[in-house]
Amino acid sequence: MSSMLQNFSKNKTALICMIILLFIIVVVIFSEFLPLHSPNKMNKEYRLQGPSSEFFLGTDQFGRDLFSRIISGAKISLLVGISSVIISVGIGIILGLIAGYFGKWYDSLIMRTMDILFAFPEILLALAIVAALGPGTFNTILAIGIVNIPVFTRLVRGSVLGVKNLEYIESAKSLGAKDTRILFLEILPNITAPLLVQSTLAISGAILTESALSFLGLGVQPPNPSWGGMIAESRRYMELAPGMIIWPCLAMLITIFAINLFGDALNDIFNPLRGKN
Amino acid sequence: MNKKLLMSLLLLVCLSLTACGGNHGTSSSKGGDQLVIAADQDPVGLDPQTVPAASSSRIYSLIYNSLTKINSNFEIEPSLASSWKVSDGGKTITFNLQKGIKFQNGKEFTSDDVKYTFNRILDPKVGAIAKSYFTSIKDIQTPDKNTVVFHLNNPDSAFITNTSSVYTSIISKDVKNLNKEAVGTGPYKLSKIVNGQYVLLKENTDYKLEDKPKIKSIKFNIMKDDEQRLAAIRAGKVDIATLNSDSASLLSKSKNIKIKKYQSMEYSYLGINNDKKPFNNIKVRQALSYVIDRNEIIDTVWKGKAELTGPISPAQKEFAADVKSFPSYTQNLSKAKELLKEAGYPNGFSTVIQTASTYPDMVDTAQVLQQQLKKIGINAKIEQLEWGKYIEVWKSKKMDLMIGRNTSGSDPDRSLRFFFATDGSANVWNYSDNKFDKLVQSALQTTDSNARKNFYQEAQELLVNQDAANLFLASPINYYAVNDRVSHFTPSAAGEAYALLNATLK
Repeated sequence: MSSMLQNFSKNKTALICMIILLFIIVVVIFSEFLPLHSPNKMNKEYRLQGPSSEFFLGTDQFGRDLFSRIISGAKISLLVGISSVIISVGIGIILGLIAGYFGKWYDSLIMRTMDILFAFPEILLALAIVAALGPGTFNTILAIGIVNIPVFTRLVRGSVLGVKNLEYIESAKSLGAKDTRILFLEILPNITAPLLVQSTLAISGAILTESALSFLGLGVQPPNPSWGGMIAESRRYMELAPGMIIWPCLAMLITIFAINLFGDALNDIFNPLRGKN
Repeated sequence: MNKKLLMSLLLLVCLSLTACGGNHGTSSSKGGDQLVIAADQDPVGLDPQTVPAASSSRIYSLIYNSLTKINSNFEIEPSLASSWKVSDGGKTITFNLQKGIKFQNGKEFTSDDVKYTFNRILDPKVGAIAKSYFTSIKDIQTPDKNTVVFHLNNPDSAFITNTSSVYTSIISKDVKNLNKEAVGTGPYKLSKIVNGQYVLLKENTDYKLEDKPKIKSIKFNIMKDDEQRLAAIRAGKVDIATLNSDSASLLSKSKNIKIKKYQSMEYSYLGINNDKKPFNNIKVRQALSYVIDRNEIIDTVWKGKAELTGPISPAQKEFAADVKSFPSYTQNLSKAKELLKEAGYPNGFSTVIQTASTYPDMVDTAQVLQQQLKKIGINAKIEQLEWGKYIEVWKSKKMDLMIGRNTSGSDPDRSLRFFFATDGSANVWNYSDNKFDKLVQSALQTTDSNARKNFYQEAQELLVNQDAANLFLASPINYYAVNDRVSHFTPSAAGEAYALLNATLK
């Protein structure tokens, strides 16, 4: 563990990304207490304005403050990203453990179903689910959560197959441990590293999918700001008020970039050998 | 790290090179005799009697003719009918048809086709858009192949105007699937449709009517985004494009592009389900009308490029009511609160506004309305729907509140009876008022133009101010960007087809 922390502090990318992410999270959590305009309040006298002392990043077509909308959008992006990944990790772990540990027809049934889900392009499947459930933040979380299940199932199953015949499992079995104990107390702790890396990367994927859905009008519903929705709205004003499209794009870029690099760095830390190659 | 940087730089160079290559290939798409129009939607079927979508009608209105047509001054002109006569106190209308006209499949156009067309419109199984226009028809007779006689149950002052509608395009009795085949008598023939890409029309060389086109072929390139159309007209890839007011203002300094505008016959509205709680209470609907500020919608959504409107758009100057004088058109919060309290909702209520995600102006309107409704405690959730789903909800008659757009048409009968009479084909709002039904029916039957005007005034006053059946919001000004290569293209509320037939190419 201590070597891991050492690795971490040596890895500058990981450190910088973590600081950026922590900053975003802190700002989002304490946004209520910051002296900001309400993100949904319209000020028709101030439509499509550039940055000013009143509106830090300018305003949109309704005169709403872009800065507070971007922060509010970050809240929604993180909410959707993290909760959807929690859904897919939760279900993915259970299915993956069952498939990997018990094998036989459990394995075939679960993995073939996952293969079917895998066969669809991610965004298409999410679109289909949202179209069936109706638009909205909760349904977006659900849709993205479902779409990501196969990734985690496959990951967990592979890891289980890798460890289930090792001696410590054998010994636990011979001591009379129950299957559930072996699964959750012996196997699971040993596969957390790849899970953590994959979850981090899945969060950035989920944020992108949410933006795509909102861009198409099927994700987060107006007036609630979402980066994707803001970009969709601002396309019409690209020339009149370029800030409207630049700022949310930049916010998304930085966040996704930080999460991805952080995930990569985690991977390097957990697999120091692979990192050096 | 350095290697990675180098690779990405190389990749960037490669990408930009291929992008340049692509540009060279497509820059010379302009043909000498071909007019290219940037269209915002695919046509969704080409049956002129059952498909009302503007993306379809702009195409089939060039392929078909109606008995009469309307010019830019809203006057009726002959088309397939060379002349007509009203007799028997307005209860018999005789049309003399043009001779020697052929359908595009080579068959001769006769009075049988007219009879077939109108029988199909009246057939309840077909679900024709224009069905409610012609409820007065008792019987259609064809004494010879160039004469059609309509016997009516009662005098119908809108009848001849209604025969000019593109929804009463005369179809050939030999063509069965009108969505697949488009065989009209019109100035253009359908040459090719590629879904999602383009619709190609070629001149009908056998066309004999007066409004013979001057352009050999017209291509509608499907470009769904406003920015895409803006870029295309700037680059000279298309000759004509419809744009929103923001994009139009960006083009005002362009050298070889002219902006043409006209007051459209469309209007945006907030549809209200008159049958659903709490909106079945007339006071709740009135409160909605008092709480919203229509001028803010015009300023914010349309950037001031729209007019206040009632159910008859202001372009129909003769019949449109002076809505500014209606008390409910001035925002009055205390009155709205009071009405809501009387209706039993002192603290407001929650509801849903549905809108189509494909039309940014509708989504914007929904957001402004949502803010305004909050002022009397009404919490509305916005739901954007995909276009197909939107139409489904609209037809279901089970919505709460819905943002939409109507074309009020060239005749007040369409604007009022079609959309709001109890048996109106487009009355999806469960609105039913005996007095209103009687007023629009009397207006239809009177032959005195002054009395007709008064009936419609009273009907509008009732619909808008009293019943607040729907909230009529704004009638936008429409913009066309036109390349200088095109002359004599004068868009007006008479329709795009009319302007296109007069246009010439340099």
